[in-house]
Amino acid sequence: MTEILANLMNGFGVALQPYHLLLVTVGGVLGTIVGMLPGLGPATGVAVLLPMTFAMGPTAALITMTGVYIGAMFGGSRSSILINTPGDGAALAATFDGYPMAMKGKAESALAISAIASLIGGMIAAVLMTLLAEPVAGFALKFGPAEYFLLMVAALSMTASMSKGNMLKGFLSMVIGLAIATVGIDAQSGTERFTFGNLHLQTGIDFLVVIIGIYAMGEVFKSFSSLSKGTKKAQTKFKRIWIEGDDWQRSKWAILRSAPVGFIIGSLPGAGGTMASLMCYNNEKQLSKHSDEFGQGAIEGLAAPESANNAASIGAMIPMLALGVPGSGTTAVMMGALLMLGIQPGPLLFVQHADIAWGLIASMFVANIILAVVNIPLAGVLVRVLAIPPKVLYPIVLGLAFIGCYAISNSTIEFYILIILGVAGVIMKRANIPTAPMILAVIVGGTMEQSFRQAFRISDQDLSIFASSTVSQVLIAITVLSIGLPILGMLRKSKQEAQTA
Amino acid sequence: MENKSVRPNWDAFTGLFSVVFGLIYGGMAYTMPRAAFGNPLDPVYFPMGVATLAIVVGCILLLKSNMKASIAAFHNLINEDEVKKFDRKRILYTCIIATGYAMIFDTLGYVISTFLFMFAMLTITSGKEAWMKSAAIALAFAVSVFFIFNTLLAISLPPLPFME
Repeated sequence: MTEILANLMNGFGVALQPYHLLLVTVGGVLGTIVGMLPGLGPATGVAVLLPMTFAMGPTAALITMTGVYIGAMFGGSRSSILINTPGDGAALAATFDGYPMAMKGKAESALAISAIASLIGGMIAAVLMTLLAEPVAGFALKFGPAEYFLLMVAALSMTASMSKGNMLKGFLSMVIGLAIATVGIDAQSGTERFTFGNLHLQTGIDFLVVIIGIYAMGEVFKSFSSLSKGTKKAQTKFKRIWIEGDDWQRSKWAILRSAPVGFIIGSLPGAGGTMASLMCYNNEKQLSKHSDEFGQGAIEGLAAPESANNAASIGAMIPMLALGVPGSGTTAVMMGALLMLGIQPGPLLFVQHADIAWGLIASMFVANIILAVVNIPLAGVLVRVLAIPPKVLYPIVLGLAFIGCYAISNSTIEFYILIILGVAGVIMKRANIPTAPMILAVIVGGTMEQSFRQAFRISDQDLSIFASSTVSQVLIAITVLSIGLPILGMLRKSKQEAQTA
Repeated sequence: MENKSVRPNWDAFTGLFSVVFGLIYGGMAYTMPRAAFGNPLDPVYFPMGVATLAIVVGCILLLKSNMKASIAAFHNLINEDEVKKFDRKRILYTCIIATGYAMIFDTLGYVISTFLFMFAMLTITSGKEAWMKSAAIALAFAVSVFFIFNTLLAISLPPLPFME
């Protein structure tokens, strides 16, 4: 415990340097702005703003990206409250009561409680993360390549099977991601794979290009339909943004209860902020004395999902930082940012780059406080960005996507890949294929294959190595359950449907 | 009659895609050059596993789905209203413009190619009438991004052609 506190203090020593404070604030404000734009969530925010950090050192870059990540989480609910359009899936639950509150002339209370709940949820989750990150990483240090391979299989199958009612399509998405990860020269044997003789493809398809393609290009393509529909005007003039009356009394338990639940759900691969916020909203609806007001502007109905959402976003960092396996699309993008900076997330991060790992954890505390300070008094100024018409905004996002792609690869070949992926994003949306499993697979695919081959070689090509340890057996059980339970659910549902018919 | 009761979805086509993808990808993996040292099949195992999974997922999707539902979804797509068709046209135009952008990027340099790309994109989203505003935004974007990336972030971008 004392060691954790000492490490955290060292982390604060890094995060509280004036330059880093400035970076986390700038990153946070930019993240808030991108996060609040309808359709552009934290993943897009991190992907589009990533090139901004290319000239910085790893610590400074990581602190900036943490600001962007948490800022985007804060910002996501602004558009939910003001124009009934969530910035991302996790901010969906904020529309249920946030928008009715704004309609009733209580936008100030809604904006304030959303920032307060996000702050408290984020802080509780950051404390839990401080306590859990290193022990989890310490446990994972004992993993051999076989366990690592199975861990990734478990994470991927959980993500794929949690794709709502779309398990098979989740797996298809994963398969496409794994296939993309195999492009390029094989690191162990030097064999060229799926390069079609193209020199640029020998180094593989950069996962950041895939991320920008799917999240920035794909999202803009999907959002083109909003140009035809026209946009809603957001309220931009406010009284003092703060809570009033019994707002705090009604919200405090909702916030405190939802934070740990959000954190736990967030730390599970595939679950993420959307599920956490929806689950906590429903919990509060059942627990509240004012359950009849839910959906019509109940403040606790906004406070609970906001707290859960932020807590989940920090919980999701645990598997990414401590195990090197991202649990959601957005943390996959964050992991991409780390890898680009030459830092391999995983158990060794806490041993080899303790300053960076703890600096990042400390900057989560700092970012939460700074963002609450920025978001409450300045909400009125920040939401003016919602007044930017999408017809101007989307070309700008596309322009940033291309410059980001060029900054990563220094070649225009990736522009073509970006275009293909953007179109793929639209087709996947149309066919109801989730994109998160694909992104995750692209990021972990390479390591997953190398771990598999290492284990296979160590055991002299004996497959029993994958079931020899207790950890392996538990991971196999998790994988089987994650696939088996939804199948059982589907069978039960079709049986019920057959009976009713 | 039966056709009308089917709810359109893309499941069958998705399954078909998955099977075809698995077969092509698996075929390419199988015919790949073997490793020069170690187990020659080493680089092939993983892609073959991925291909098998694609085929299995595709087959289950095909078995579970109804081809008529996918055909109905396809008909719905073709018969969508003009507004939705125009949204798709916007995507097509963006792809064409972006391909052009990729082709002129190195030759014309960042500022000129990005100005042209942004101007074309803004014309698609805002219409021809707002061309002056579009030109102003495109110019401001191209110049400011060039300045930020090239000067402040030290990421070298292709300069103006006459400056080389």
